[in-house]
Amino acid sequence: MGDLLVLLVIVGVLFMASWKLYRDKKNGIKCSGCAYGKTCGTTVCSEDKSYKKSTIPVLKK
Amino acid sequence: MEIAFVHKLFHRKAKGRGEKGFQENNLTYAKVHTPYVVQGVHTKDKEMKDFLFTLGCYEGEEITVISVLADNYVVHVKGARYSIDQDLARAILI
Amino acid sequence: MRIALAGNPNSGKTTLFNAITGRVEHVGNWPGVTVAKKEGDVKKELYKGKKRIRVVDLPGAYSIAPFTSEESVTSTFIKNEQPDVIINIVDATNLSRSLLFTTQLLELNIPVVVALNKKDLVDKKSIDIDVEKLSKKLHCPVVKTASLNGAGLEELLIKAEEVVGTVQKRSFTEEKTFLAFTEEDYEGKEKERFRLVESLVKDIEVRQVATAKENGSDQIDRIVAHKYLGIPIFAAAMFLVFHLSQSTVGPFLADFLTGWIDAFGEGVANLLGENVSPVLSALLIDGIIGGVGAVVGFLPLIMVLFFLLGLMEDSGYMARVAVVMDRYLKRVGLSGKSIIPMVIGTGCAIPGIMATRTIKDVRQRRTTAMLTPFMPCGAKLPIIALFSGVFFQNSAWIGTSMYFVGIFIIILGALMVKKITGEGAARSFFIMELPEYRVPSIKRALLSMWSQGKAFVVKAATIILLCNAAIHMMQSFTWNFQVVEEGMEATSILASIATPFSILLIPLGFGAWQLAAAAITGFIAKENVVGTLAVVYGITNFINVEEFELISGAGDVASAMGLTTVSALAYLVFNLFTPPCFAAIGAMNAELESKKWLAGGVSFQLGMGYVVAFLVYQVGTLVTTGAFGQGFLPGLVAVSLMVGTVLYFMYRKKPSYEEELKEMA
Repeated sequence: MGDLLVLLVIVGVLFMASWKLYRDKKNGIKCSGCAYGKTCGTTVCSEDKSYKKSTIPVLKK
Repeated sequence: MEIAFVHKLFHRKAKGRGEKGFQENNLTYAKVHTPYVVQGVHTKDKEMKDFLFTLGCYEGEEITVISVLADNYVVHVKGARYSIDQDLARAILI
Repeated sequence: MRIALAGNPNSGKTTLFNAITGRVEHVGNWPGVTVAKKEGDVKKELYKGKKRIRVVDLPGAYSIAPFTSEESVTSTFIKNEQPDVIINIVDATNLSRSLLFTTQLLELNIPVVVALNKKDLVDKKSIDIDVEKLSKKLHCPVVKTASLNGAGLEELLIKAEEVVGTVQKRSFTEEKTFLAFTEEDYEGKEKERFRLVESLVKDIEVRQVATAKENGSDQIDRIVAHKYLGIPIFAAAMFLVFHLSQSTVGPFLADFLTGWIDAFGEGVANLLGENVSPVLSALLIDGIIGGVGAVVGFLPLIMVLFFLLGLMEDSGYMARVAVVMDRYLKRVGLSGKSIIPMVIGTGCAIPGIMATRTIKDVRQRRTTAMLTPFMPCGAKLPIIALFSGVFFQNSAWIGTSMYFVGIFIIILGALMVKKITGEGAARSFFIMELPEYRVPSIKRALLSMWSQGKAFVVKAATIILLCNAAIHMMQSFTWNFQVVEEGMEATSILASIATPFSILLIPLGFGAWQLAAAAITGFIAKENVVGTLAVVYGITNFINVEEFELISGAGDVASAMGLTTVSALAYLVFNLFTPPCFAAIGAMNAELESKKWLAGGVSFQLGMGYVVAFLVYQVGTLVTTGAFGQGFLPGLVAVSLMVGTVLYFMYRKKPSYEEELKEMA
């Protein structure tokens, strides 16, 4: 009886931890528990990477 | 000729070798707390020149050296303070 | 409705963003804090209307023509994503430069509202600005705000909603001279723009004090950025931060916390009593509670660290650090800007790596991103604290010396990169805007501390908890799913996986499978090293309660781990200077943008950890016992191979710059 209880507690705790991770994944947070989970590894406009390549000024606009 | 000049520029020892601009009329020779008028920005790095432009550092604008800290110069341009290194200071002509 | 926040660097955009969305994005008093766009919704309390307003915080830009990568971000966003309104945040203490960007924004055919920010500073400096006149001349609403204390925000949002969909007249449409410039003569046009802005500013602003004179901030800088005093002051500041977080305030608070955790553990143990199967109770008490508790016990240290870092970032000192370090960093091929990511990295490497985006030169940016993880981050603090407590009587010097070793490795690494990639790269100039010093806001530092602390607890309750539980299960069962007998730990699943790795670690002095396992879990999160050690050695009691007065217990822990002092030091060094957690590697990957650099960087980190640990162990053992440690020869071979490869890359014949240029021509 006591065994079952403990087992349930353990499974419950593990489940909650996994669920939180799963939820983070869905919200796009790259790593749980990192304060910068949302902006980690993302550039501004993911389609537009040009800002990182050359820095030739685009003065003539 | 262009290439040779660029090549020379990348040699560390850029002694003021009589090339125009590497003489006493650059910011490293400015007196502290004295406003000067920028005569030009002499550098091959066009980006930096344009960047300085947006900060208000170009021909005709006023620039003052507030202090010299080791190899860095704290300058005042258009109401703001910047710290620039010696290379950049050499490029600003006054 | 989408609002974009644009303006000069360090003008208060992110602070405003936090104030109106309730988010806690990273703020700092130096240009270049925000490197990526951030989005959030306006708080309900501020906005009474019906629509959902989305706010986008952008990095600072001096003008719409992009020079730095942050400026590109802003410029691209505005052009491609077409927000409904732009709130242009203008630092009211510097109108003449700020308004340049304003007038450029007004030409984009997107309605603009100007937020004249930092009005608290303006009042303090007795500057008078005629807001109405400004608004009339710019043809757009101008609202006085002070994002630090929240003034003017509601009005700002109301005005923003009002202008949506309207068409504003461009500035200077009356000025014939301005219109006369064609598109091609860009420079001429911008110069004229500046001139017009200047006359506009003269018209609306009355200053009591000329800004070109020296002021309080400059006087402080005379000392702080002094040629000879600068470095010692910086070293002292960092030492203070670490000392307070690791040796005094941090451990003091941690003591209470670990006391509670331990009491909790005991309480649960009592509850379970004898009726529960030992496997299950061990899993719950030693594995889960013990493992996570061991890590969470260090929470106060980390919170104090982030609090102090927050204070430092807010004061404006960071920009000066960059100035001070510029001379020395130039010698290793970097610039002063590289020091900021590293200082941030002492909190967490990930924002540090992201901060490298402010470095223009690609090679320098990549080098800095690769080297930032060598500064011990907050997650590594538990490891340092544990080892210094168990093996070194809590000496404060262990922690401090780890940072020095980190700095040394960074210097070495920078030199190596310089040699490998060829010094022919152009020297980039160093220019950094120096913001005014200000008394750091306790509130802001507390917020930063709180958000980091919260994240840490979340991490502990998820990733670390799962890892510890997995580790515990793997060490309790053999591959046949039979419970491991006492004394037969080597038959467990964990042992069999970790043992091959542990063989590689013999020359480093810690070839035990438990230690290898702990080091491996460290890649998931560095805190796991402590957690795994706690689980694997079942020494939760020692770690939790008496960790900082571990005199009687130390011997037991030390013998349980089977480490001499020297090998303990080697193990500590190994864990600190190997590649960082996967999350940080991910951030590195995003910033390096090159598989070659990523592979090089991670290999460098791996190699460095191995070589340094090897040296520490072998030399240390030689010094203390007069003979080399185990596995000296194989280790020497491995190390020589690594060093040899690096030297090869450094000194191989490369086409000289001249030849390259000729080829290009």
